[in-house]
Amino acid sequence: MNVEVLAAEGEIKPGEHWTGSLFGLTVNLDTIIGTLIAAVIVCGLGYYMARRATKGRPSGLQVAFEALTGWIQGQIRDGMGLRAPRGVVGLCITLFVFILTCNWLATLPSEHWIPPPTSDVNLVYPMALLVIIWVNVAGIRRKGAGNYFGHFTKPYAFLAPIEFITQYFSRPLSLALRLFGNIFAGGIMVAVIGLMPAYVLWAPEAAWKLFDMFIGGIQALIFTLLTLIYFTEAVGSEADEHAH
Amino acid sequence: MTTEVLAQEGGETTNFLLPNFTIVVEIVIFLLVLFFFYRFVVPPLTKAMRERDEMVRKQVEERDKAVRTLHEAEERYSKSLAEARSEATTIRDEARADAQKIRDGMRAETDREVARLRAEGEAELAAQRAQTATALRAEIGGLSSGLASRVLGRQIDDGSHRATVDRFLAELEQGQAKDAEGVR
Repeated sequence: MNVEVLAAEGEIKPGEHWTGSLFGLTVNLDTIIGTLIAAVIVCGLGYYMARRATKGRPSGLQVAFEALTGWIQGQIRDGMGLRAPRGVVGLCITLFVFILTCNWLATLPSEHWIPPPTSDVNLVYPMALLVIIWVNVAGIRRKGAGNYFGHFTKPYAFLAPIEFITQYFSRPLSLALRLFGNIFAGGIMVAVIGLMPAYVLWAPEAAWKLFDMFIGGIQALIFTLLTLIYFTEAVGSEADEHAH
Repeated sequence: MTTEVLAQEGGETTNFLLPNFTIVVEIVIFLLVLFFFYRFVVPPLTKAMRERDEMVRKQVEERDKAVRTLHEAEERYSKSLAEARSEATTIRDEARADAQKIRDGMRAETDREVARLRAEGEAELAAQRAQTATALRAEIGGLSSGLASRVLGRQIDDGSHRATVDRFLAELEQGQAKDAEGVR
């Protein structure tokens, strides 16, 4: 009952955005501003790190970037070997760093005005779409269109529709909505905690923000890892090639 | 119930799972970030990593080389040490042999010297003895004449009895010589 009343009062408004108009079309200004902030942070840090990148004694930031790059390169080496399409490392680095930064915007006290952009489907859909398109292009370029789409009919042709749905609907949707759902739920949790009395509010709020950071990291990792897995599946590993 | 109330309060409802025009702006921003990373961030980063890998590989090679050199040097050192030890043993043995030789030589020399000194001493003693005996013989005639004069209570001519005394002494010496031979 209490929750219903609170909801009715408009304290918790899931999915409600601060909107504006662009070319006569509605745009979520808070998401755009959040994305821009994340983009500036990510590009700024990346540029700052890249300018000072050295083979000698790396800075902490460079070590972090190198750890990420090393992990991605290791995954690619294990999965695809030399068959890895060009640019996957860069895509995965950007995805991870950008999603992580977007997610961690949730930890700032400004969350009520500028929610993390990943809690809006308008950011996660295009990212998932980009990944799926890129994966398919890489697969077709590596195997040839006939071979690539013919793979859907193996081992049983009647399962091809399921494979098709998985490839082009379930995967992009789950990739996008997993990220969206986790971060969106984080925002709702903060709103729910915000309904508590002020003298007790800080403890669960602090605990939740820490946990939310952990979730943000995990989700960025999952998105990147799944991207790598999809690429591996599309281009095939070197072991597969030898087996054929 | 809640949804209905919300719907009533909120007026127009939007499904938050459906994207709006924001999606275009978002993809543009993301592609710009992607381009920025491809252009400015990833190349220097991977270059630094590659160079470091290369540096580490070189260092490992150098380390291996240094380890090999160290092993060789240690082998050379042990070999030289063994050689030096064996040489030292030879030198010590030679020195001992030399010392023994010198010692033997000096001992022989000393023995010779001692023998010579003894012979000289004995010769000198014999000469002194002979000299003393001659001197005593010269005096003993007079003394015995004097003693006989006192015993007899008259003067005995030294010259006339000299031959008697000399004969007596000669017999005495002969007797002594015989005794000495008998002792031997």
